[in-house]
Amino acid sequence: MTEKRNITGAEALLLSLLEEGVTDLFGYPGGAIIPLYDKLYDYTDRLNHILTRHEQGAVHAAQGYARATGRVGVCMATSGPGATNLITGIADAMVDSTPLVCITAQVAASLLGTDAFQEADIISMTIPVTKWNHQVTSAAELPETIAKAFYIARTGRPGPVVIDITKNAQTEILDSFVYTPCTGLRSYLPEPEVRDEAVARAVELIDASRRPLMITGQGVMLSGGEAEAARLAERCAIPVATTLMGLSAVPTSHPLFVGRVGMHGNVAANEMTQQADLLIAVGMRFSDRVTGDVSHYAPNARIIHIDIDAAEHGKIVKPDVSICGDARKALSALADKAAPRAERREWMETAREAYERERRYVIDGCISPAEGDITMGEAVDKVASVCGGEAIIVTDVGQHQMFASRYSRLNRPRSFITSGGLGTMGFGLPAAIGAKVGCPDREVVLFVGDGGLQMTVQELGTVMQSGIAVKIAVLDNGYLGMVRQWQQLFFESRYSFTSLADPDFTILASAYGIASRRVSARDSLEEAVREMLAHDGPYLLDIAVEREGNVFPMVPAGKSISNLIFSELNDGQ
Amino acid sequence: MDNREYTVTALTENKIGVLNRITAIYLRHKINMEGVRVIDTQVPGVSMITISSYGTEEVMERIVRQIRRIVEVFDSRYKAVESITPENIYGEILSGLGD
Repeated sequence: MTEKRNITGAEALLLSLLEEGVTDLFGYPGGAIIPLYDKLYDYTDRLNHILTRHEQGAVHAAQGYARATGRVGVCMATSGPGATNLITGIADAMVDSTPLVCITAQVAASLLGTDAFQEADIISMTIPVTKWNHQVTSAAELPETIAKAFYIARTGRPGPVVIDITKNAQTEILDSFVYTPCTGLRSYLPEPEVRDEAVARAVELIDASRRPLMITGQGVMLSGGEAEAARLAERCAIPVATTLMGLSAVPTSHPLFVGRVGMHGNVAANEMTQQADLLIAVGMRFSDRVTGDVSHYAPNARIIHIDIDAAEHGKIVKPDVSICGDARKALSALADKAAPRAERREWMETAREAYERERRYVIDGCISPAEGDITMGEAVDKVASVCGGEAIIVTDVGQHQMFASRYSRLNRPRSFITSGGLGTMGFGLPAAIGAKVGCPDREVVLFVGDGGLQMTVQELGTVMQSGIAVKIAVLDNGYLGMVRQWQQLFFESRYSFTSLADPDFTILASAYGIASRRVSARDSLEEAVREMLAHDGPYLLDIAVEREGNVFPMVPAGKSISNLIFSELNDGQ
Repeated sequence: MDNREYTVTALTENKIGVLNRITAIYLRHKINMEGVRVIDTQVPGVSMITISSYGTEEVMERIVRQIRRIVEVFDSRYKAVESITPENIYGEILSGLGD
């Protein structure tokens, strides 16, 4: 507990952030937040503020930071348009369970409700997309509110919190500043106790199962349960699949890893879901992109659902056993009690056979084509082989995201940062900036399309000004590729407004003082990737890829995940 | 599933914005509220919100689970009861809070 006398609300806020262990934050100043920025000027030795070029950049950077480090991401913006510009990132963080504290300024309390200059009712606007939000109208409320904000953001199922601070609250004098971290709220039980009885029933199902499949979601990493997931899998010889958000929870090189589930997931992971007699679903929420037609999902399986959020249990599928609580603790209890099993040769043979089929029909042609233009899969595979699974991979949204998720090699947790639930184009570049600020010693490689890059391309200015050494691999096909793919497959190739006339991205990078190169020839690709990764500082590699390449396999929207499509022509039979 | 009338109750902190968070969940599910009432309980600072609406049991179940996620909500239930008072729905929680 620290005590300080006669300070402004602005200073109390900064001291509160320091008390919470904040070292980095992302933001953009404006009229109503000037008092806070004025005080921040005195704290630059303790708080590393990254000036983005747009508030959306600040919130996505805070998300990338939180996802890479596991700490709460912090961003700040002024009132009105500054605050509303955060909303996309807040909604993204809500659905992807990312802990954020978003500080917005507000007009003076005396002007609330008068349509004052740059007044926007950000509290009402962010109700559906925040875990909690609160407006502070006096300096005295600040320390306690910030303590609550951090506690709520990081506990239970993490999520974004908005704290809206009126201008007068920033300038008022606080007689005495005392900071007490929040340790509990009487109406809020963030972590239900893992019940022994549920664990016992789950153990019975695991012990009786002949074809179990574990599906790890992001909750495994949010709980720090990566080692326990691997321990349970290894002890009971259970193959492990992941969701998009769960990638890197288990190394992609793990012998029990069978790939990713869902619409553009791996054949083994999807087919084994359909054949399994038991699913152990950990920290995942059965998104429609995972289940396809839910009435035909996992038809032969009993389901154990482990999730800390009670509202997820039974929301989409009815589990046979619900374990509501912390994933790490639940996995640990299961790994202690389930009967050890030697290998399940026949069941793992299913995985090998499915992989072989996927390799023959999809992967080989995608990552090692003999002719034609460079493919997205090939570019991702090249980066993966040069990085050797050690890099943090960040993506934007679209075809390149699916290729990145399919062909990246990931040895360490928290190494795949993507916009999963909301599918936010423009997420990638600022999220990569945040990841690099949070993990300066790790290589951070962004895969981004030419469309998504241009949604937040102004953040190249942030890269320049703050010298953030992100590697930007643009998978450039001159199309909004995923929409174009759907138009080709399901809308008779009517490419309505999906073709893009792009600028020369290397000239754009040069304008920002960022080293760059364009590559279009297959025999130069590896050398170009090596040059990007060897470069000391930020680098943009514009990779001209096949214009009309498609992502396969694919489960058409609304179809059963048994209906995998392998190509434009074939239905997987 | 059949549409019928349900009464959802929620025991909450008496704080600004809680009712908005609850009604936002109804809006998201496109459920029209037929009646809304907020009353005090015997515990200072704790209110009970009662909302009646038409819907299916499946949707009511989901709404109640999402209401329980709200930080200021102690609990929420949808089972219709004869007499809706804080004591006969949340008696146990309220007596704990009163200590």
